[in-house]
Amino acid sequence: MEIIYLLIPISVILVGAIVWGFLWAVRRGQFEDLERHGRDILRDDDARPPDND
Amino acid sequence: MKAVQACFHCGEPVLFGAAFGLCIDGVERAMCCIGCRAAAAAIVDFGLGEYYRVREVPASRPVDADRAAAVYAVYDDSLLLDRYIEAVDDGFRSSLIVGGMTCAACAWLLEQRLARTPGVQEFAINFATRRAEVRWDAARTGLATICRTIGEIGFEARPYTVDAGRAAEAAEARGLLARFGVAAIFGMQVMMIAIAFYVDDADAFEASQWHFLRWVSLVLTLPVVVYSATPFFRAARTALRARELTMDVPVSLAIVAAFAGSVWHTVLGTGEIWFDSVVMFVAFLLASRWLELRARVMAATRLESLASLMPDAACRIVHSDGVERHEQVPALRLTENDEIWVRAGEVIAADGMVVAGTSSVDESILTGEALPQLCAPGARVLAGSVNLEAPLRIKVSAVGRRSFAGHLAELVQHAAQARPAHDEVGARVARVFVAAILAVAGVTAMGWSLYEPSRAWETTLAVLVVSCPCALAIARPAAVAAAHAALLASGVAVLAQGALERLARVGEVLFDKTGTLTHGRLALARVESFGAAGVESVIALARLLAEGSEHPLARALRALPGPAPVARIEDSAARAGGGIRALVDGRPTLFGSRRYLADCAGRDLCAGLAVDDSGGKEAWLAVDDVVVGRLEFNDVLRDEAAEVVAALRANGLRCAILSGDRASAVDPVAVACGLDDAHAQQTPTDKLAYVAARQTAGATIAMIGDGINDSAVMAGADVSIAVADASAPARQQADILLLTPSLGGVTAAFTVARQLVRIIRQNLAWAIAYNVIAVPLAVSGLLAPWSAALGMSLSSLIVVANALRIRPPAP
Repeated sequence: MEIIYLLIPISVILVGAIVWGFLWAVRRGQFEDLERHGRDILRDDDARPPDND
Repeated sequence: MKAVQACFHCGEPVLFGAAFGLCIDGVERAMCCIGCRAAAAAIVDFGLGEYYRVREVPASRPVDADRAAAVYAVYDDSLLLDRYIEAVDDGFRSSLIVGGMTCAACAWLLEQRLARTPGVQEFAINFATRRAEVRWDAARTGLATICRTIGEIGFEARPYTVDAGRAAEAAEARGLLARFGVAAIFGMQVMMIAIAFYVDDADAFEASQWHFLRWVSLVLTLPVVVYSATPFFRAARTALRARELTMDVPVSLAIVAAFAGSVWHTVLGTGEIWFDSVVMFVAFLLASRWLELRARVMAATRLESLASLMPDAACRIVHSDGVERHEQVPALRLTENDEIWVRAGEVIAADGMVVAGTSSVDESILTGEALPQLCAPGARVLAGSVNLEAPLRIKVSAVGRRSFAGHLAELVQHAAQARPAHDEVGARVARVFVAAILAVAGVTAMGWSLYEPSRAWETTLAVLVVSCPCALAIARPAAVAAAHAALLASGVAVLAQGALERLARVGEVLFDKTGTLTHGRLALARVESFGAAGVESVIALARLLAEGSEHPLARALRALPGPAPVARIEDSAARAGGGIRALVDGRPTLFGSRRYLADCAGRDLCAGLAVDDSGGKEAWLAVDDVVVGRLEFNDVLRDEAAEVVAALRANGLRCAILSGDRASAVDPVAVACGLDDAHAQQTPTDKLAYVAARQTAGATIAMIGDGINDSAVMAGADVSIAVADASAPARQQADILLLTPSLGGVTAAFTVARQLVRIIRQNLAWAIAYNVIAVPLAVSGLLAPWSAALGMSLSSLIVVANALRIRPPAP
C-alpha cells in the first residue's frame, strides 16, 4: 500500500490541472450558451463562396 | 386575371409582375420590391445562395435599406461609443438585437456573411433570443459598417446597452459557476478518501497511511473553504454588521466550525474529521445558488426588444449657404430649438412642437390614449410617440432630463426607493433556526464542561457540524430555480430576485388598459353598410384600397384574415391625413375621412346618414360619389383578457384598471373584463399615488403594464409585470416579463408563484424535521460521521427532488 504515497500526490496534481482547465473555460465564457455549439456540429457548413475567377 | 406570384425572397405577393427579377443559379426569380432584390443579390453575391435551399420559412420583407443605412451611420459617432461599445483586449465588442430573423437558416446566413466581412473577429448569434455578440478590429471596420452589412442582406440591427446591474449579475453567475466547479472537483477527491474511512471498520489502515490520508483531505478541502465558500462568508459578515441573522450566518458557522474542528483533529492526529461534509455542503449550496441566479440572468437576455427602444438617430434640418439639408445625427446630440424631420412611421426622437406638416401621432405608450392624436402646426409632441401618416417638421423643445421621458425616469427612481421591502420566504425560519442552533451549542458546551470538560469542545463541534443547515439553505434556491425555469419554458421571464414570492402575497392586481388589456393598436371594430352593398363587400373594397398603404387603418385592414380580394385598380392616389382615391374596376372610389370625401366630391356625402358612433376612429367609403359604408376602428380587447381577469378573481384577487385614457374608453373595457374597479385619466403621478395609498392601507399590489407612463407605478408596486412588446422603461422596471403576446402568462406566473411558496414551505419543514432528529443524536454521540454525511446529502437531494415537482400550468 506504500504506492499511495506516490499515486495520491500525483492525483492531487492532476486535480489541480483539471481545476485550472475548468477555470480557463469559465473565464472564456464557454458555459454561457450551452445550446448553440451543440447544434453547430449538426449544421451543413459546406456552402463555400464559389470560385468566381 | 393573372395568378399571383410569391416573392422569391419574402414570399409576399408580387404586385408588379416580375419587374424586380433576379437570376439565381440560372433561374429567373421574381421579387416583390427593390429591397428584396437588393437583399437577395447581396446574399447570392457572397456565395450564400445555400440559404434559399435550407431555410424553412421565407425571409421577412427588408426595411427601407437607404433610410436604414443613413441611420446606421450615426453608430460611428463618438458620443455613442461609450454607450454601446466596449473595448476588449484586441478590439471592440458590442451587443446587437437583430430583427427580421424568421428561422435558424437566417442565423446561419448572418454568421456566414459576417464571417466574410473584413475586420469582424467574432460574430455569434442566438436565434432564440435574437441577440448577437460582435467583436471587431477597430482599425479595419466599425459598428456602423457591421450594422449596414446586416441591413444589406435584409435584416435589421441595433446595438443595445446591457444594464450595469444585469451585467454584474451575469459576472456573479460566472463567479458562482467557477466556485462550484472548484468545490465539486476537489470534493470528489475528498469523498473518495472519505469512503475509505467510512468502511474502515477493522482499522485496516496502518497508522502512517491513516494520518497521510487525513492530511491529503485537509489539503484538498483547503481551496474549497478559502475560495469556493467565500461568498457565504462575505454575505454573513454583511448580515452580522447590519445586526441581522440570514441563512448565510448558520451556513458560514457550519463551514468554519467543521473545517476548523477537522484541521484541529488532523493536527492532533486523533478525533473525527468532517472534510467530506464541508465539501459536499459547499458544492450543493453553490450549485443551487448558481442555478437560481442563472435562471434570472438567462431571463434578462430577453429584456431589450427592437420595437421598444427609443430611436438612436434623428434627422436634423441644417441650413448651410441658405440651403436646407437633412442630416442624420445621434438623438443625444439634439439640443433645444433644433429642427428635426420625422417621416411617417418613424418614432419621434425628442419632445417638441410641430412647425410644419399635418399628421397623427400614436402616443399610447406615453399617455395610455389609445386613438391616434391629430397634430397640426403648433401641436406639442413627445419623444417616443410614433408619427403615423405624413412627414412632420418639429422644433425640439426639451431634451434629456427636462423632457417628458426624463421627468418620468426621475419619478421612477423616487418610486423605486419608496417600494415596500419584503422578506423572502424562509427568512424568519432562518433567524429562528440560527438562534436555536447557537442556543443548543451553548447549552451543550456548558453542560459538557461541567460534566466532562475534556469532551466539551468535541461535542459542541459535533452539534455545529451535524446541524449544518444544508437542506435548509438549499430549500429556497432550488425551488426558485425550478420555478424560474418552468416559467421561462412557458414564456414568462422572471427578472427580479424574490419576485415570485412577492407575487404569491399579492392581494390586488392593477392593469393598464392600452396595450395591456387591449392590443394597443387599431383594429376594425365595426362596419356599417348603406344601400345595396353588403358588409362583406364594403370590407373587401376597403381592403383593396388599403393595399400598399402604410397608414395604421390600412394596416388594420390588411391584418384581417382571409385571402386578399383581387380587382383592377388604377389611378390610385392618397392624401396624408385624408384618404385614398382610385378607380376600382373602372368606378371612382373614395376611402377616407368625412372631410376628404367632401373635398373630393365637392359636397358632404355623409350628411343625413344615421350612424352608430362608438367613439373609435372612422373612415368612410364611397363609390360614384355615393356612400356605401362606414368603418370604425378601435383598440380592441385581447381575446384572453376577460378569461385572465376571471381566473385571478376566482383566486380571490381584487382586479382594477388604472389607465391614462378617457373614462369613455376605459369603462367599456372594465365592464367587458369584469374588473372590480376602474380609474381613468390617471397621470403617472396619479397612478403612483393610488398605489402608495393602497399600500399604506395594507394591500400588496401587482401592476401589469406596458407604457412609459406605467414605468413609475411599476417601480412603486410590490411586484410588476410587463407585457410582451412593452416600452423600454416599462421592461426595465418589470420584475416579470411576458415573452409571448398574450396575457395567459399572468395566470401562469400566479399559479407557479403559489406552487413555489408551497414547495419552499414543505422543504423548510422537511429540513427542520431532519435537524430535530439528527441534532439530539449528535449531542448524545450516537451519530457516526458517515451517517451524518449521508443524511445531509440525502436530505438535500430530497429537497431538490421536491423542487423539481414545480411545473408550469398546462396552457
